[in-house]
Amino acid sequence: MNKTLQVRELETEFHTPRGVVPALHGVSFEVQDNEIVGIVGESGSGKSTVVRSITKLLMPPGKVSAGNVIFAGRSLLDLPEREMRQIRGKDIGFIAQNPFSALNPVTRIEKQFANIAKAHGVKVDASERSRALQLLESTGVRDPERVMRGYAHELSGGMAQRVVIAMALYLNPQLVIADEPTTALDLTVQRQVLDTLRRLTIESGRSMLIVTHDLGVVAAYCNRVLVMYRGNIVEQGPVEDVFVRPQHPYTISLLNSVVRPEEETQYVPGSAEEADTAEPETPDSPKVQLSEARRS
Amino acid sequence: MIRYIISRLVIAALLLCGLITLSFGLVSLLPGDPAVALLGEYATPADVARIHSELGLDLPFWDRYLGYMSRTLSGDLGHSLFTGSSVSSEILTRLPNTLIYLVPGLALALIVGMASGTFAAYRYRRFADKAFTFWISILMAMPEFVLALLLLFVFYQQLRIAPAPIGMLSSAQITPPHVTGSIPLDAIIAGQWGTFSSILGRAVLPIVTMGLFFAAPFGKTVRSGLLQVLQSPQIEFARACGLRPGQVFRYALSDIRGSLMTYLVLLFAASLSGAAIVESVFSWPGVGGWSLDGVLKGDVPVIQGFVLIMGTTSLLGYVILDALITLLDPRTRSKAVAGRRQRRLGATPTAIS
Ligand SMILES: Nc1ncnc2c1ncn2[C@@H]1O[C@H](COP(=O)(O)OP(=O)(O)OP(=O)(O)O)[C@@H](O)[C@H]1O
Ligand SMILES: [Mg+2]
Repeated sequence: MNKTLQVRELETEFHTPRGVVPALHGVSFEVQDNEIVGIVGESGSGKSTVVRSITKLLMPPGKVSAGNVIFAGRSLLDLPEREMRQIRGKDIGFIAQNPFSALNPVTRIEKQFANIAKAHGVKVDASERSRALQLLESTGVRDPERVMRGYAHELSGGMAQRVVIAMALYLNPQLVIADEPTTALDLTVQRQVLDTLRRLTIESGRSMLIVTHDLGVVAAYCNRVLVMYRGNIVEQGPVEDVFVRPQHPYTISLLNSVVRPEEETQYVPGSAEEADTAEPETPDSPKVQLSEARRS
Repeated sequence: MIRYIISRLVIAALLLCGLITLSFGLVSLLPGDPAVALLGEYATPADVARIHSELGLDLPFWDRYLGYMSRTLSGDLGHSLFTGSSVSSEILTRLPNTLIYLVPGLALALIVGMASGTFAAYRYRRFADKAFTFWISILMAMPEFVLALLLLFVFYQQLRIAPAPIGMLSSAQITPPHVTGSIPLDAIIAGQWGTFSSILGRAVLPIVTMGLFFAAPFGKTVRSGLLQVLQSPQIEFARACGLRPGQVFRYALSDIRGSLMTYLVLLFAASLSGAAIVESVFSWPGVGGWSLDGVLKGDVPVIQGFVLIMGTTSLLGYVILDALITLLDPRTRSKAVAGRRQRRLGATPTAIS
């Protein structure tokens, strides 16, 4: 199996007025072809920093100080911004957390698609437009023609996130990076959007790196998982291995905080799953899969 | 759409009436009696009474108020207590003289502020940004007249490339034949391009004064607005889609467009009052210096006229601004045009959201 993305000993720091704050201490992992890799970890553990360091979207005062990112045989950290820009959107698609803050509020959706095409030297014509329409349709947008002519604020959250996904996939990237793509959506919509994402990546032979703090999402959608803790990857491997035989104390406590196998409908107070307890469990829900995975 | 425009016009009309009321109230708020201001401390009671009746001050309140309102609305702003000249015709001849340096000055401020603020934001915390912040704080600590005198000192006294601050025309220039009463306009009508360009030459220092004075706060606003929006998820997503730097800048600009426009109108309103000082320094025959004179003498109709013209211009600016901001943003436009909240796509109960 080929490697789409290889990250070696990545170190990132923030140069704050109070001094240099290290955020990543040598992070190494890889994403194989046609694989979904999840990154989990508590808030502030450096998940978004990994994503931004790879795509070189880190804003000052953040700075990658060491390491290597190899994507499609190219070392991204050595590329000048001009070439990096051409990779973003074309070879690496990015899905933002909140679609309403990511989409341009004053530009028509079709114009935003056209801008992406233009930025990558793709001629904007009728066939390009119909390709965008098809893509919107395949992400599950109803009435894509009307959505294309409208603005972001006219959409519901789920629809807007599908538009973002369509934009990320527009130029057919090999790798999709999603930073908490469903946190801003309500629970039923989360599943539909994630299903769509999985269908559109795996079935088209793409790879995906997905950041989440929902272990259920990892259990249901990812092949492999990276567990981050304070700027380090403390554990990584196939989802079944990590969830069934966690090695690192942090991973164990992370798993324990979500669900206890002996009393699987009880949740630790304050956990993100709590809001979902009113809903009856369906057999394919990620949490049930998670607990089944732990029992097996 | 029509309903929206009508509602704005009604609001503007109400605000205008409020403004006239305010200007009317000024007379009673001002310290001292206008008759005493006019005649001096030693006026006889009979003279004071005569002036009162000339000014209509002996009439009942409502008569005075309604009379003032109707006269003002018909364009009659009264006469100067001291020179006896009509306030409205003074304003009409002087306003072009003010606008001839004020508008280019603000345009200069817009260009300089926009360019330097953008440059600083893109070079955040680097040398250029620090230099920008340093100069801005110096400029912003400097009152207008200090800036004007400094420019005069450098360009008139030392380098001798700027004309003396003695007004719009030198005595050597022939005054154009009287048509509108406004010298720059008459010069254009008469085709006296030499005179007109000499006026422009003399306007350069006032333009630069205004330009630098307002470029500083505007540039600062541009910088902080851009810094904020460049860190926003919207710009991160635009960059993650691989948009070109120019496209990203346009996205960023469209986000802060409204607040920048608002700030420009604020600056315009402020510049009208700042005009008084610049015009005094350059002996410029505009509305600013004239009204300052009126204020110092207690010339009530002149003060009222200035308040009205300043207020109306700012009011007009705000109404146009409000309409522009509403109509430029699709989120507010759809509501303004349709008059009701639009149905969200896909928000129907049966839709998969
Ligand atoms: N602009 C910044 N300035 C200084 N430090 C920062 C900055 N951004 C992030 N950090 C540091 O980097 C660390 C990692 O942040 P990051 O945003 O990557 O966390 P995360 O895992 O994505 O968290 P979350 O789940 O809340 O999104 C944080 O602990 C924080 O201290
Ligand atoms: Mg994050």
